[in-house]
Amino acid sequence: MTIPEFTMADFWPVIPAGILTAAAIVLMISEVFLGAAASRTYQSLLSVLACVLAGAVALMNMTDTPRAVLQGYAVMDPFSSFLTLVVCVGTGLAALLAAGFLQHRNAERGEFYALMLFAAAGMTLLGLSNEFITLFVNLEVLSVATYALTAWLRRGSRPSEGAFKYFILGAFAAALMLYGAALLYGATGTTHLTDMAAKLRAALAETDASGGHPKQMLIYAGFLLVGAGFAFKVAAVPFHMWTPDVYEGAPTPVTALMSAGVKAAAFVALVRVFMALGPAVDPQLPFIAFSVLALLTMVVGNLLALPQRNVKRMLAYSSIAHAGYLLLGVAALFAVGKDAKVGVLSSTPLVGISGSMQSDVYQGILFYLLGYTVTAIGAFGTIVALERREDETKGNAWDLDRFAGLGSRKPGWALAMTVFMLSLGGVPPTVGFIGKVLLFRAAVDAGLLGLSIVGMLASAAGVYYYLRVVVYMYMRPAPEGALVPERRWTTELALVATAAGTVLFGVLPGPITALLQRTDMLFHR
Amino acid sequence: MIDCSSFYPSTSLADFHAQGHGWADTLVCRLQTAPLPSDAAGSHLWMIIALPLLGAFICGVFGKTLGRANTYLVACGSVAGSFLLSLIILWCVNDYRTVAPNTYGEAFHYAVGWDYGVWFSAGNFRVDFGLMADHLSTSMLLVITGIGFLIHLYSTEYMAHDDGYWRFFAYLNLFVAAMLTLVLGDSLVLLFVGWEGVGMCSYLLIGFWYEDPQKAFAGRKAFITNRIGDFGFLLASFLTVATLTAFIAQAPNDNFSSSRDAAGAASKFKQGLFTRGPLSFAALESFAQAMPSGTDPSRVTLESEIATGPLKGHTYGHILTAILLLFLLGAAGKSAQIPLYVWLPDAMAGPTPVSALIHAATMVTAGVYLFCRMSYLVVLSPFAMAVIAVIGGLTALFAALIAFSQEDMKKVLAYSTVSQLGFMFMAVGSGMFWAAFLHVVTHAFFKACLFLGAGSVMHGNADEGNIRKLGGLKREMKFTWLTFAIATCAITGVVPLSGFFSKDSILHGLHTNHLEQYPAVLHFVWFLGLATAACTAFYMTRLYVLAFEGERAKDARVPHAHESGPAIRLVLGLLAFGSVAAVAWGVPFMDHPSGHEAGVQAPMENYLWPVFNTARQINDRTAFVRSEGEHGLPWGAWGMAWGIALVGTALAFFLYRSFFPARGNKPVPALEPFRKLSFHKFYVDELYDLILIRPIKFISFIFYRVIDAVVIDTIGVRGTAWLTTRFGAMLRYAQSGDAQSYAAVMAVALVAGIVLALWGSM
Amino acid sequence: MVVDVVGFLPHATIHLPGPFRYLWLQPICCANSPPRMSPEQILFWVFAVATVFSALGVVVLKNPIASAMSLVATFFFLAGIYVLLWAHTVAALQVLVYAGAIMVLFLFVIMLLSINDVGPAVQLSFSRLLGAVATAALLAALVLAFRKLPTSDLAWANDPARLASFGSIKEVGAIMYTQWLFPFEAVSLLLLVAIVGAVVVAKSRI
Repeated sequence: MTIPEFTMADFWPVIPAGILTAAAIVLMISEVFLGAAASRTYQSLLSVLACVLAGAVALMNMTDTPRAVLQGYAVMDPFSSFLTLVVCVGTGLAALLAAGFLQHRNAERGEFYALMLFAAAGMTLLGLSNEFITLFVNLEVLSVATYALTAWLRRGSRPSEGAFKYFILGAFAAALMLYGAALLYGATGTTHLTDMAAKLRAALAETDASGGHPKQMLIYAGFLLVGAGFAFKVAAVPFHMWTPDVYEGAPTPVTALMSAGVKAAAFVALVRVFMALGPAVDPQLPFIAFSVLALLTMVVGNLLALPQRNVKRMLAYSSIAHAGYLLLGVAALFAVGKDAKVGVLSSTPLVGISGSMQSDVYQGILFYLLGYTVTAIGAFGTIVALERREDETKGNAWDLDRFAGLGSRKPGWALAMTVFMLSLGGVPPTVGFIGKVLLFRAAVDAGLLGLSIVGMLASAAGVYYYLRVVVYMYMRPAPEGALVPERRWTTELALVATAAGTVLFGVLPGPITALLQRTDMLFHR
Repeated sequence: MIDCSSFYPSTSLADFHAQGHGWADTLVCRLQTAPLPSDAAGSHLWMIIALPLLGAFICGVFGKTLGRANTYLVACGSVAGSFLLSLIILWCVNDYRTVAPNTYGEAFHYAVGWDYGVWFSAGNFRVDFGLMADHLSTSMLLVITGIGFLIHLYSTEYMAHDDGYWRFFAYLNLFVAAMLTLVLGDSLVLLFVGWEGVGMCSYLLIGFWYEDPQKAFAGRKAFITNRIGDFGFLLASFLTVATLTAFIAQAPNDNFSSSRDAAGAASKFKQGLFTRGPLSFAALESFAQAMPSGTDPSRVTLESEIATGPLKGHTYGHILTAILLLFLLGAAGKSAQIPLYVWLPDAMAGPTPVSALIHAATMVTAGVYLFCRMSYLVVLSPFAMAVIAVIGGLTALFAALIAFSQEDMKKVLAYSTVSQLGFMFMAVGSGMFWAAFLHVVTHAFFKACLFLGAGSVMHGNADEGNIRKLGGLKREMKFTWLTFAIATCAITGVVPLSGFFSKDSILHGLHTNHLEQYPAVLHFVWFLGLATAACTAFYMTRLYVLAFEGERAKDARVPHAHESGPAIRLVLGLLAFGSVAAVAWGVPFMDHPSGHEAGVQAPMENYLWPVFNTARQINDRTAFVRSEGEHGLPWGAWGMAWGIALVGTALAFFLYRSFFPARGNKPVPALEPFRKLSFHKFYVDELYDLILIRPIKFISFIFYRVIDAVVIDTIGVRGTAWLTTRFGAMLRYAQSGDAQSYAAVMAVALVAGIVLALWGSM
Repeated sequence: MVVDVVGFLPHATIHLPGPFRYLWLQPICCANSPPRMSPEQILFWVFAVATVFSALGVVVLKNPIASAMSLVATFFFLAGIYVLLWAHTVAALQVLVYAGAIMVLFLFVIMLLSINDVGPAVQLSFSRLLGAVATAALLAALVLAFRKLPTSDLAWANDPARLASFGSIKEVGAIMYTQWLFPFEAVSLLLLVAIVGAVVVAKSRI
């Protein structure tokens, strides 16, 4: 029996997850000693501290050489390190938001933050998993934590209904993915992404007596099932239908975390899996699949958001639309070679994608993820600040009318919300604009002109429902007898931080893009 | 000249003195030795911008809570801090060993600069956030922060009764920060950020009293007129990027043969362009240096056609001319030149300190600064130079004629500003960049003094600005009178004052310089300049006489004017002193440093030598501008200029002191049509209304009624909105809330995927 | 081959009797030799068919206790398949942990809560029909994929040393705690999260 050697170099990438888990355990243990009435603000702050520490380690990891660690079950590369950073930013902000939200509902417990941090740990580990079983386990860590968080509140039927749907459908999607991974294992005899590509190629090349490729169907089926599992997690149309119900039912800070962190982690894992395995099959197939997904997701997400008066639901649909833009970037990764047969809605011949273009796409995707995380958490944060416990059971807690007259009642909040809406709509000078520019530019460079135009049109349609919120805030008088919402310093701190970030990264994207300008973003050999 | 070389190794004053130098020499050498290393000074340039920005933030957010006195302290203090920092920068750039790094070529001497890293990048296009201060920027820095500080100080008294003081000071500080960004930015992009920032602050401040619709309208007029100019600026920037991109693809190493190591210089330039982007001024300078004229098969010249990119087929020379003319459009918007000058007189709706700071001393000179900054590009296109000179000359004369009959004090001064800016453009067009800049500096002093004097008059006369309803202020506002008279002398061109030398160096340059390809142009512009000088003397004297001399008007708003308080008087005094003292920049008494030109030069020319050296070298090569060197001082030209000023002044004195009062102030019938024409500003606003605004309104009416209302609104927007909303609503039916149907949809999608894969693998 | 279960058996050259050949995912047929079956194959078929039917029972049976017992049966039969795969340790754990401990807990809970509600009758709706059709199509597509697969002998089928150690507790432990360290620790995190999550969801009030 040979015992593999582990050195400190193997453990650097998992240290952020370790910090998050340790903080979660401390929170759970400390909860035991607290009475029902004790002040629990420290829990939120401890979570933020853990996120800051983990984020700092991740930032340090960004500059390290990409390599496989822990016997090849995980990798350390800028792609996953940046995801860890994004997740830490998102979780820290969501934890800040949660303090006010939970105190208002008298539901603040250490387990809530612990679950949040566990979910965050799962996300960071998902980003660096390089082997199917590991990937699946980590996906389940974050899923189980978010299932439980969704059901946290005990008011009305919405939270439990949302959690139950999320759990059932999530389990369904996880089963699909596991089955797909099993099929791929069947075809190759390995679960390591790094080895799998070569073995897939060999398996595809096998011929039987009649000259056909016996394993081709098996492999394609495996790909499809794995893809379906990911599509569920990133909420791509038509695997999106759980999103509005779950997002609406979950406590708003959890919704913020789901729309930002879970999605980011799933995207990073998706890119990792398909960039490792995709080149082994006909690149045309993943290209078409992701193009179709992107097209449907961009268009349907925006269309569904249009008639929404419920702002929380509207943001849920908007998060679907944003997944669509990101999928456009993923599709651009597969626009390979001049001999590509068909480009969905592509009016220019595919120019093929060189190494530097690929790094442009990575840069676009990661920047977009960061920008969307900051902005979406800010937008949900405004909802956190506005919603009141009393409205929840009535079901109109998130109606557009809640925003009427906010511009005169709470100018600061209205300004912040305006910034978030502009950023989600992709209007300069916000981070959303820069993200869209980077992403769409990379897509156009890769030849996806038609799809990009559809994306821009769809996002132009999106500006309509984002600006509607702004119109309500500034141009509608506050309804009679509307109660002024309470102020919480933690919530306001989160709003200030997200609004400042949204504008700052929009005006000065340089440091981030410089951080992301590496050609070896993703480790795969 | 003092030899300071032995001073440099040691920085101790006593040691140097001990070596046998006099104390005076020691001090001079100390002043010529930078107090800080180049890197230390350069990397802290951002603080100059950050201070007023912080001040704006504090005033804007906490101003109401802090109270008046604290707000004043923060606003003035932040600008004063910037001024002190600017002085340190001045000290640094005086040292010849101070160097600013340059990614594109050889390092700049007499400059400090710093690259703070990438600002934004998209593929190969990249812009860095970099600041640089050379002699040109430093002089602007001192003008902006120095005069800016005085005007802040003045405002503390002027705005003492306004409730919006915190808003006012926040805007004012923000303006200073934006203007500093404009002059410190080392790339066109950062300059444009400042350019837009000052435009926005100007808009906010013109419409500061936005309750008055007239004033809000004036703000909008300024904003929209400037937008037209900005459009030109942006187009020019895009063309610049395209040109430089084409140039690096096309130029052989021979283009860089003026450098010792041509191949090295070429690769450094290309590398710099690749890593730092094409919009940095350093890139433009290297580009201009590498761009020869004439035809030379081994090199890319102005006559070569662009081989690649969107500009393919046009020659570099033509494209450069187009770029400069588009920049001229931008500069005409900001610096109020024909045809975009109409906003500046209306901008006087803002508070008077604003008029003094933004619309006289600093912001409106941004166009001149832009051309001085890019002097090396300007000298590459004689056609653009001719156009700039002619536009400047026409604007100068035209505005001066309008100023003849205006009755509002600030309106006269506004047209005078337009006219003086015309002078600066004339200088740019004739290649006398230093003279243009000298006029910027002197003009900043005396025009600020005049505006603030006018403000003081209005302050003491219950906001009465009509000169017909003032009069006799000489006795009632002694201090204001004194400073106003000094500044009037300065702008008129009375000999020992600053305006004389700055204006005369421009006229002198127009007289001695010739554009080789357009020989008559500068001569024509020279005549325009002479006429303008006479007009300036006339209308300024008229303004002075009507307001300060004679008897107090019978229909005055208040029977007795009162003199302003100490803050206003202090500022007026300092500015009047400046209008006199700035003469030190303009008197030509220094030797030319390299000795290859005969005659003497003004300190300003000497001081700006390193900045315009590239332009001079390029012109030596291309010989587009030919200068007839003169020996000795131009006594004849001086005499003529002085004579013209005297004639104008005397005529105005005669007319408004004795002729018209004697006739009981009745108009002269013969001159009446002219007066009317001038009073109605040659009907330019009406002309614009007729030929531009009405047709546009008519077309837009057609568009609105027919195309917009019917086609776009009804069919397009509402139709599309209706359709998409319907479609969205239809999709919503699928969103039933039933988890099983969700799963079913997922399964169907999977089957569709399998079918796709089957089809794909067939 | 995960699905080509027979391929893992050491004696895969045996052929099926006539009626069964069409049930094979991959028919192994030779015209000149009659199909035969090894004891392993017979056992496989017993376990496989029983697993499917008992799993169906979990879903179809209306009595919760019957349903739970059906699940116990499923676990047992699955354990049998593990044995056939030479995964002795996993099979033992399956019986001990799932069929034993966990299912006893299940039954305990069901009996304690005395759930005898049979639930609403299943109604046919469009989405259900759609789901059923789609699932059937998915199954058909997968069957199609599996039918194409070739058979191959296990490479180490005749390597006695490998056969002796494969699937033993020692080997599973050695691999799990060395190479598979990272996934193993991730699973421990998953279990922790699941416990906390279950407690949180089960609490009557926060």
